[in-house]
Amino acid sequence: MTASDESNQSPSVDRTATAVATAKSDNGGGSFDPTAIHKGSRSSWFARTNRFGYLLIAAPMIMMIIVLVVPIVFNLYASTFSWRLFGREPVFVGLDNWITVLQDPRWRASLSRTAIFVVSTVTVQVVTGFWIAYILYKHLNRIGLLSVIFLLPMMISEVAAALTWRLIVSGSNSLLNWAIGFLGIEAQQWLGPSWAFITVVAVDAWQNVPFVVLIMFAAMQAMPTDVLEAAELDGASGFSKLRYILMPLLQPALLVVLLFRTIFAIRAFTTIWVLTGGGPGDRTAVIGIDIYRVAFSNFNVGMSAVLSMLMVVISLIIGIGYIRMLTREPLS
Amino acid sequence: MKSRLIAILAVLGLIIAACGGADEAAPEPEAAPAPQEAPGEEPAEEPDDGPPNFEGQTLRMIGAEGAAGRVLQIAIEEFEARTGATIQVAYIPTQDAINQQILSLGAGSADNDVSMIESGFLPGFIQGVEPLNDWIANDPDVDPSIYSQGMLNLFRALDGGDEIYALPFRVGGRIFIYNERLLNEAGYTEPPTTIEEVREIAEAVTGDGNYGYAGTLQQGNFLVTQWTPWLRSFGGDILDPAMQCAAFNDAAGQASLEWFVGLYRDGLMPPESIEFENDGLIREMQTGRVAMAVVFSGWLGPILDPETTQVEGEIRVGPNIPHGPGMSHGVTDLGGWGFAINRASENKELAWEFIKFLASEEVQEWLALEHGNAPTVQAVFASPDFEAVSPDAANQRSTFETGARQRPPVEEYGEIQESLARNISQALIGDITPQQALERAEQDVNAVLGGNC
Repeated sequence: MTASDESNQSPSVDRTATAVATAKSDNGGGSFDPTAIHKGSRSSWFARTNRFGYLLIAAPMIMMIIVLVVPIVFNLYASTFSWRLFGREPVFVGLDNWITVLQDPRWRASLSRTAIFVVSTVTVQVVTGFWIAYILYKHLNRIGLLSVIFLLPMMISEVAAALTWRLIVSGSNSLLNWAIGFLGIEAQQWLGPSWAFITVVAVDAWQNVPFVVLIMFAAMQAMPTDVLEAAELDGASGFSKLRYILMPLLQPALLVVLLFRTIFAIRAFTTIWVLTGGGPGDRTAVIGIDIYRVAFSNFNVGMSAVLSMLMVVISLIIGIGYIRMLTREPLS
Repeated sequence: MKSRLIAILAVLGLIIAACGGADEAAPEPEAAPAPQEAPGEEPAEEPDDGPPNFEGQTLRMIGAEGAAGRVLQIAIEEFEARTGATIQVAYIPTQDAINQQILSLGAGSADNDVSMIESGFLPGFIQGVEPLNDWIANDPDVDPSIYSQGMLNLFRALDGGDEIYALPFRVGGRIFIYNERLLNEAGYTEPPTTIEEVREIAEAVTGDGNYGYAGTLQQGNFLVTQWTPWLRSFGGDILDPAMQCAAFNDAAGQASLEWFVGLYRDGLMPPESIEFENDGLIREMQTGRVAMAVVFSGWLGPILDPETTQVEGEIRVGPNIPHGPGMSHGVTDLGGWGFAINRASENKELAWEFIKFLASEEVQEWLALEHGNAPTVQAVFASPDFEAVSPDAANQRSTFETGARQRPPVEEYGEIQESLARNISQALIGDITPQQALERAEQDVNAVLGGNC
């Protein structure tokens, strides 16, 4: 723990400690009487406040347990059964479903595709979003109306956006092929085996870059300008300013963006489902698509529970990693 | 602190306003349009004989997008105009519509009053829809003998019982269609009757932007329904007669998939066929650059729609699906849509009126003649009027009557189809060979069925 961490301890903890110390001294330094905490007017006020605080958070906690913990526990339970929604009765199979998922090349391929999709789309989104935000920051003080335009892709429902993109890219006579024809580029089959994965990454990035732009632009506007001005006076190059000043200052915002975008990318479904249905030949079948197929097309509860749990675990690991990085000191 | 308090109060205010406002903003049931006469219908003389009035009542259901959904919507508008009822339909892609309805029925939900059942998936629906026998027996307006019995049987109990679970609305089969102009230009005056001839003509036609064949090859149910008529026309089948094991990985199955994949891999189909569901294939046939296809009979109407087609008078129906070696004729898949009443519905009377209307002879005739629907009433199919609007109606009939089969009526069909679609799709793009595709699908299917194979 650093010195600054120590000095930033919760004030209520300090005050409670003071109250305990006071209580002890009131008893002449003899045995500790916990009820003494409530005797002083300040300590009893805190005790009441805490009770009220617990009361306030009780409802959301209960709600969280119902909508989060219960489904996860039920999912874990369901994952130990060979269970199809219709027909045969569920049969307890222990970890068989888990072993199948981890051993079957089909599911391993699905997990690998998901990883490649996440890395690709998040990289494209963050790099593009960062640069757009930086350009706006450098050249425009306020984005005003521009922010509305930037936000438009994010405002459109995913289904509507994907259907629109499907119209733009589907078939050899697609709008996109017509447009690139003017540049002398040969028509491509954008949803065919060679391009389908790249197309879904591009459409996903198109829809989510505005989120990155907004967060990064807001973070850049909140940066202390004197540091940058001092660097400029010292003759720092553009790259040096970016690497040694901007990046450390923007690190918290960047990590928040990465956290959100990564978790959202892991559970990508709508855009891919509408554009390709996971095909051709499973080329775009990420784990979200497989969960949907297994759960709602095959009605295989046990296997879909395993896949869902895997998605939760992967998201959790990545989320915890990002959060740990967020709580560390910025880059030096 | 003060600003926080204000913020909390503002949020609470908004929530209260939103909750309170919901009641105020809830729209009154729309005034129903005045009942009107259907095209060519005589006005009712007595109020008792007129259409029942369900003004202000609402039915909810999930509908399949695409050609079936479009015809359904036309019929719904007519029903609403006649009865004053409102039919709320959430149209979603075909497979999603099937899956969501099965899930909803399985949960005992009353969210939907009517089910739009695809015959191949009847086993999943049976648990949640009403047997219609009593409704039929108590309603003098309904006579089940008017339907093609093969079509009605698609919606009967699977165990050979008498229960009828849905009235047939749009049933047909895969038919072989060809563009007569393209065939003539390639030097062929007759449609192919064997798979060798299909390949030969496809090779002759392909070039200069034209293609010999097109199919619905997008990974999913349409891909499987595109291949299965060919599988059966080679003498193969999806499951064994006991419905316990996969039957498609035999010599006939392998030959049919080799041949089918070859059409795509050898460039005899448009490359973008890999993206096609029904609408994609319909559009492709309308452009006049594809010579042959196997389509659901109900798609003929949209393909020949005078407002959008570029192939007026060019599309013909072959006498049957071309057959493979050792077979005397092709074998088509019979299937389609029927409508049922959900057990949990609180609007069963209206639901019955609605499904009865959709399956009535009058509506079947109107939709078949004017909107290209695939009729289920025998009299409509045999009428000269239908012959006049539907090309080669006699060939369509002969295709359906020559050993047509339906999909295996097993509860696991969704899973079987998903595995076939995935593996065939991988074979189409060259990731695996057709033989590997069938081997992998066979493993999946046998595991799903749990049979002793």
